[in-house]
Amino acid sequence: MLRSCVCLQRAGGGGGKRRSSSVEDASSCRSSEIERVGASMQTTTLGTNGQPQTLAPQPNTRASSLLQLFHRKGWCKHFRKPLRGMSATRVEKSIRAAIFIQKWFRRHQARQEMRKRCNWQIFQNVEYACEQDQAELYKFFNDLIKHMPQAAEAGNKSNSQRCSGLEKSGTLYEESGDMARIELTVPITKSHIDLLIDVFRKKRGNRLHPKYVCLILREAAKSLKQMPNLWMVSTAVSQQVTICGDLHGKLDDLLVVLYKNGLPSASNPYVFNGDFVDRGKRGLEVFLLLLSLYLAFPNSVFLNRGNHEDSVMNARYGFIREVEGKYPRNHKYLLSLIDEVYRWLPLGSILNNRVLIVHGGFSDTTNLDLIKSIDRGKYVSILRPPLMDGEALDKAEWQQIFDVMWSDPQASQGCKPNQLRGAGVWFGPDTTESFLKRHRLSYVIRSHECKPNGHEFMHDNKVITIFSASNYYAIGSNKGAYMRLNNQLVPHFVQYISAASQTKELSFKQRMGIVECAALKELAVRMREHRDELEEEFQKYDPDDSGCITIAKWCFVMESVTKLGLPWRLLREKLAPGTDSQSVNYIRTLDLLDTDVIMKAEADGTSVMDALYANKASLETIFNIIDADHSGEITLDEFEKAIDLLVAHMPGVYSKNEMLEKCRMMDLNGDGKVDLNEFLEAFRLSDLHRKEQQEEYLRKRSTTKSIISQHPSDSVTKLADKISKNMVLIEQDIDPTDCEAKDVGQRS
Amino acid sequence: MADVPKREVENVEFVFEVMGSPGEGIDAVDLGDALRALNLNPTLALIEKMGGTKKRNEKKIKLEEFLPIYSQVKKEKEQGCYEDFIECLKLYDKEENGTMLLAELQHALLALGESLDDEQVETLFADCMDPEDDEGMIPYSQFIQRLMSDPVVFD
Repeated sequence: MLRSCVCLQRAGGGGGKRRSSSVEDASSCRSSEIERVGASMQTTTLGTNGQPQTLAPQPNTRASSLLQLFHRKGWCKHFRKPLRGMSATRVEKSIRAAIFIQKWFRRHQARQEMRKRCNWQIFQNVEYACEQDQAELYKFFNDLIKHMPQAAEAGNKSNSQRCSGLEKSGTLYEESGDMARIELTVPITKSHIDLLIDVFRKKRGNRLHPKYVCLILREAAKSLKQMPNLWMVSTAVSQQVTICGDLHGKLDDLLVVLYKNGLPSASNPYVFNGDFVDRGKRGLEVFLLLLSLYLAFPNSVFLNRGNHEDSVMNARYGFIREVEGKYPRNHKYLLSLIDEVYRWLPLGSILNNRVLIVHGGFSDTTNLDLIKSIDRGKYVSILRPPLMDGEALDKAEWQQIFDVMWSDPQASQGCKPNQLRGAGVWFGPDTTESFLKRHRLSYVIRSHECKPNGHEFMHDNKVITIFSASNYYAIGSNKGAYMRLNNQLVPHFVQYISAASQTKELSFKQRMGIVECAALKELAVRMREHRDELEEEFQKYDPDDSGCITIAKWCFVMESVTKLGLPWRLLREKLAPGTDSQSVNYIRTLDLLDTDVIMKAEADGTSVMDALYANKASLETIFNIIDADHSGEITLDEFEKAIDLLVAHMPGVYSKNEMLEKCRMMDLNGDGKVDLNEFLEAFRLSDLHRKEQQEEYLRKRSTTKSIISQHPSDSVTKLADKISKNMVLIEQDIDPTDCEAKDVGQRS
Repeated sequence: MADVPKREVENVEFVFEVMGSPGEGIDAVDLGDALRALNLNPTLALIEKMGGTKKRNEKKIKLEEFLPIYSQVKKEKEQGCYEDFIECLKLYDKEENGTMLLAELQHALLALGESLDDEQVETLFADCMDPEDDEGMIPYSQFIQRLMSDPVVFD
């Protein structure tokens, strides 16, 4: 055996592990075999034509190639001389084997990639379908105004709403439970910021006293009111600027950014591009921290309004519930103050007169001069008509705001209404080009869409999406990112995942499993809305009541009922688990929807109707629009017209007759007219009735199983179990250093 | 195109829905992944031959162009089966007990054929491989089984 053979070194040297190639039997050692055949053999490999071809013999001596291999990450404790000296058939076989594994590995990767993209699509489509429901409100109001022409002319009399929560001071009640023991005073300074961060990052005792919440909100609203509609940001002093996208209540991500990039200052300005709340659990803390940063560093923090800075969205997507949960005795007052901040948040920023930063995007009719000149304070919620004060409603102006907050870029040319979201537009590269030219801008930065890597370039790098909430859909679903621009406005990104230690140990497959489970849960909850319709349609195609239908039919029914535009074939195995390859057992699909975990998730969510009714201001607006002559009363006829429109726009609402019946019941004095209180009461009772009906329905369902199946199959139970046990982030004190941050430098 | 059965055309359409944009088809850099999602197993060389690119946004492949590529790749015989492969790995199995040195496999994947890079090998082993025992050996047949037994995307 050669002296330099590793086997010998191993056995001879102390401390090395004994390998199975024994020292005594030299002939069994591979490397000796290699040496025996001789160094004159050239290396061969399979060329692109599949034929073995020879490569030039390696010029390195054995010693230096040894060194080379040792340097490779130190894995090679026992390398084998690559190919040199092995017989041709062995070489061929080895290469064939390697290629085989590599092919299969790539296929394995490709399948994982497909799964990943599939899950992504599920999340996105379900999210946008929900948003679509919200946007229906906008359309409903638009229609309402259209059909009540007096309303458009005479304007909306809601003077009382104009008198903001700023002037009236509400009484604050004591809250029970842990309260953080810090005190805030005006003006807010950096030391207050440090205190706030320390308090907010704790798992417990992270609630400010309501009087300090009010303090921050009022001061912020007062200050923001003075600001123009579009912030003018400049890097003249700082030589750079940092931009963050959607945070959606992810306090851990905000703290990661502040940790990695430093607190704001004159030399370190920040632009936050909207969507601070909803979905995540720490929306209030994120919002208060951002406002405090703004108050403490007024010329270095620029806050843009996003489509979620809107009480109508908050009613649906969780922020209102968050505030209610944290301040049960004061939430109404606090929410009214939050509304005040929302309406005065500027709509965007212009950087160095060259770059526009807005939350959504723009359309082919977007006019920045117009946007600069509007009175933004009248848009308390952008899903409701603006406060009018005797002026006529300007629908074009309302649309401008919508387009800026809700639009998305698309790959193809043109500019068309955004069907997926239900509001705003999809704008193509041509729209971008003409927009930039018209306004003499270089490019646009926007947010609004979740991206796997936290950012994305589109339209020939003229539209950059930046999204700062990591783990947005589920743990490990995506990275967040923030961008820094230098004085030349060249972008540079930092990607990160917060609470990284909780996902670091997971293999790719496990991470995929978590995201997939979360996606399935979202999808199943959404499908529950159509459960009975699905059952009806499935049975139509199953005349023999076998419980099975063809794959094609199953896909067809799923799409025609849910209209989610998802790759149903790919999802078939998940949504009808344990099914064979020829047909689909649709009973399993229905059973999955009926499992406890899904039903509970549905009950936890809020529907559009919940949101509408919970939002008294919306109902008031409806009333005020209908009551065109401002008499304080509406007739049943006028109300009937409004109901027609409501029924047309809102899915799943009860029949017109039911609503009218309620209204008639409310007309206590029988004069055929309803005042605001009776109106609100009618809706409240209708909503109560609807909730009761829902509970009744759920109760019935759980006690009497559907006639078709008595027990869900094992595979359904297994899947439901997996979903309910799916890993979620453990809540603990936030540690911003626990992030996997990566600098991706310039344009990737 | 006539020789691609209707059901498979549907599968292809679904893959296009997930991976591509409507009207434009898929990016040619995803050609390999698209074929693999459809249960084919082309080598990198074959993908390049069929029109796959290395960089994004260079070329798009529409559905009609993809179908002939699909049917041709499908005809490739050299899929190799489990037994072939086990036979190859037996070469490294000195003790003939179903195990081989992990590092040898690693080396083969990194240095031979259409080599993988370190990160890919790490991912592969994390997903499919049992940890090596005290002597650095791994049971290769299980590894291959796991590698090949991924739930199929389509049947």
